[in-house]
Amino acid sequence: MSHIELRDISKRYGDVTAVSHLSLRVEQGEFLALLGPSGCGKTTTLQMLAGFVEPSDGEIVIGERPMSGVPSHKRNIGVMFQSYALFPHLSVFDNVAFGLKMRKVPSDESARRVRQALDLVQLGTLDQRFPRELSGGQQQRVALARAIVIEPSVLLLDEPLSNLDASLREQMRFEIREIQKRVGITTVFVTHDQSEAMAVADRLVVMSQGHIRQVGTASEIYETPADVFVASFIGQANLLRGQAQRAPNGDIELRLADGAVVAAKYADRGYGGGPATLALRPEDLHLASDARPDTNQLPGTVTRVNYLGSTLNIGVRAGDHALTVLAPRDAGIPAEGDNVFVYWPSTAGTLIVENA
Amino acid sequence: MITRTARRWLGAFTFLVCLCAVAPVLVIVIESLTSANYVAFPPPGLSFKWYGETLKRPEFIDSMFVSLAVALATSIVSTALGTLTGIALVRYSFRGRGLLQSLFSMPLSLPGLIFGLALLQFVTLRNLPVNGWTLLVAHIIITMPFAIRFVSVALLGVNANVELAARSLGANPWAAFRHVTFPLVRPGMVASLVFAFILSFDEVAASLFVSTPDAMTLPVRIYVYIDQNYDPLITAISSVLVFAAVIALVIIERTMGMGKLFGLR
Amino acid sequence: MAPAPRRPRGRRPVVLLLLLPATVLFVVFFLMPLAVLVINSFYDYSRLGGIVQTFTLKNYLSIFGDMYYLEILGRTLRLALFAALAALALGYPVALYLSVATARQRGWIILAVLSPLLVSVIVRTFGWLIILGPNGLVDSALKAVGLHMQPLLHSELAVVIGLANVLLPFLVLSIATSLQAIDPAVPLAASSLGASPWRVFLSVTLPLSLPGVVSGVLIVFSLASSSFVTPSLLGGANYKVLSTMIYQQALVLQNWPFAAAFAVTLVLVVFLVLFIQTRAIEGGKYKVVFH
Repeated sequence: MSHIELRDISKRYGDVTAVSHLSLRVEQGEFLALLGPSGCGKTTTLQMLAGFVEPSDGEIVIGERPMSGVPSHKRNIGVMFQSYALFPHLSVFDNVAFGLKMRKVPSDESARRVRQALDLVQLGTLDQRFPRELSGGQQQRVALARAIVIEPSVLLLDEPLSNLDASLREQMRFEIREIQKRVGITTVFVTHDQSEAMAVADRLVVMSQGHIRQVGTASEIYETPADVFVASFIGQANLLRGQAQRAPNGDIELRLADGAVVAAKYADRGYGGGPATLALRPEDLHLASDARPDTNQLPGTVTRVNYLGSTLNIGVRAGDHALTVLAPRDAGIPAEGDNVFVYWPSTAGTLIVENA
Repeated sequence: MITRTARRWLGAFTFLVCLCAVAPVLVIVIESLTSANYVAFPPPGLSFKWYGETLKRPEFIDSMFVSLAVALATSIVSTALGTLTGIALVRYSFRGRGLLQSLFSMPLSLPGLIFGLALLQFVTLRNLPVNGWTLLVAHIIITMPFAIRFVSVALLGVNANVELAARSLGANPWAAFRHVTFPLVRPGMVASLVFAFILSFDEVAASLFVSTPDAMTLPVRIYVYIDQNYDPLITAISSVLVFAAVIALVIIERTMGMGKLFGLR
Repeated sequence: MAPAPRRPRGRRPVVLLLLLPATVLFVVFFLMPLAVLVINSFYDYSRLGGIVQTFTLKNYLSIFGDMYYLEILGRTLRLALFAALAALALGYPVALYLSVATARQRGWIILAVLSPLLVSVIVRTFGWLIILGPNGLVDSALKAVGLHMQPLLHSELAVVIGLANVLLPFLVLSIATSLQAIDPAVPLAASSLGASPWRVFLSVTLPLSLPGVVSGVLIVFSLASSSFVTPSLLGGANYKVLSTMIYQQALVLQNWPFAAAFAVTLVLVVFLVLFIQTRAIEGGKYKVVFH
């Protein structure tokens, strides 16, 4: 049995449905990211896990214990908030000791555990300071120490790094992951930043409008997005829409709106055809000055060239399609207005079919 | 975070306290409609006769006009001076700014009673007459801290860069003020006008000392009357003050809301 | 909100012009009268000669030497304390409920609690006179159930009730403002760490609301100790506080120096109490809440 199970969870506020029929399993010790644009329901889901909000329908089970009716202070969870939510009137030490105090842990053991937690987040010398005397990064570490010192069964992180500047964010996300691995707590991490989610999570849950779109590892989601939303939300995607048809040799032929035909692969043998979208990553596409007869190709004109240092981000207009190509810099730098051919193998990209 | 039962108890308690808060005003208005000749609550019957009685008392009509005139003049002068002062304190930096800010907020911490006594003594010992002008001066000083505060708060809310943007687009300082600053400060000035008016209209403590039989504000007249008599006449007159408060309330609610005036969301 | 850029001091003339009228007004009609008041308190008075301009401590010695006046001083402070505590007992739950109420409820509560401030204190106090007096609301209600009690009017209790009612808005305002400033995630954090709703209140909400409580209580205390109309109407002719003395000496007995001495005493005593309280807070264990 999984450590956390959400069974057909829904949450409605009047006419608005924040979360709709969501089912999910989180394994013991796993670091799971809930990812999606604002309004997708990821924060509401986290709040329901924490017990701050009751689901309208469905059941939440944590560690084989059903959570309906169980208030937040009895769930043995650790929460990290976007605004840190440190107690302004308590010192760093008392902040971290708070959860232990609520559990009536004797003071010498509590002191020992607090010091341990503060050392873990490298704030051992600042225990007598007050939150307003600390920087954002330090406050966030105190919040982390406070959440893990109580040895909760589940750690819930609500966009904890959003208020930090970029370089600190990157550093903190790896620190949090390190600590989590060391301590082994099941963690659910909410973020809108997909590179963050991909960098640290074991599995990602991509959400939109209260629904789960796809659950998988970073590579599964990046390489084989389940639908057009996931394809465009994670990384960049070139989307080619058209009508798919099974060719005699087993490949799929995709007829695009402007008449061009490209070849793609599709695993399900039973699929006969229908409207579909081919999702290609910018790095799947290559540029050539001449036509290449035996791969997929589209003729086009270069509309922009962005020099990014290690790579080039090149925009190409090919018929009705505005394509983005990521090319290594040693492939030569094209100029705006150049006529080029964009090519890729039929094995590249993911064909996303529209279900009836 | 707060249990349902706790919430219900708190809500019930709050309701009772709110009831008690408005009770005295409600009681006065209801009692002003009594048909009896003595004060008894609940009134045995209803009648408008006491309002009629009020009209037969010239001293109350007189006081009503005095209160109105003083309140009107106070609100205008106080707001005007408060605006000038507010602009100077917020937009300019100079030595002694802190001192002046303290000076202008001192009336807030001085009981009206004591200020009235001090003013009375000062004016008399300088052989100046004690009349409506003294009353006006007292009210202006009492209300000005509020005027300054409302205008300052409104002014602080206007990003000074907005004025600079106007200047860069070709407006001279006066035009920038007229077209940019003034419209943005206006809500503060309106708040000041209304608040200074009602504050002056209601003022008792200082007015007790600087009122004279010829220039006596309504609240003072009421106090003097209650000291000697206890009949429903005074409730009818008090209703006038309630009426003024209601009008002030409506205006405040229409413009910015009572909560926001005092800083609550 | 960006801070306003400071203009160069070369524009002095404009500043002077803007500030001149108000400053002159305040210096002449506020500061100077106060100076006159203090000076007068050291003068003597005789019924025949009026104010006698010789320096004397007679007034102050009288106030602090005579048991009668000391009793009045004590009564004033006691009244102010009770009124402040009563207002606190009534006002804190209301401010607390405001922080958890729906937007509509908030609107009505704020209206009910704050709008009486727009009505003159004399009207509000007279309303209490009618409620607590003979044949008043309370009296009629008791008679209806067959109880006969002496009217509450003309007692210290009546004055406390009246003052608490009149000054309640200030306390609610002060506490509600400090409750409003609490980051809503902080009580949630406490809850997630195992604090029951009651513990969340005791360990988080209450301490963080203390600045508002203290400033509100101090405001109510100082307003109550200088209030005149309410003790005068609800306390009756025999209930005398410092403000009563000021009024009587100044307007009835025409003994302005003595009245001035009472006035100065009132200001000093209240200031002293406020000062002691503020010091106590700043040194106490909640000092970090007040920064």
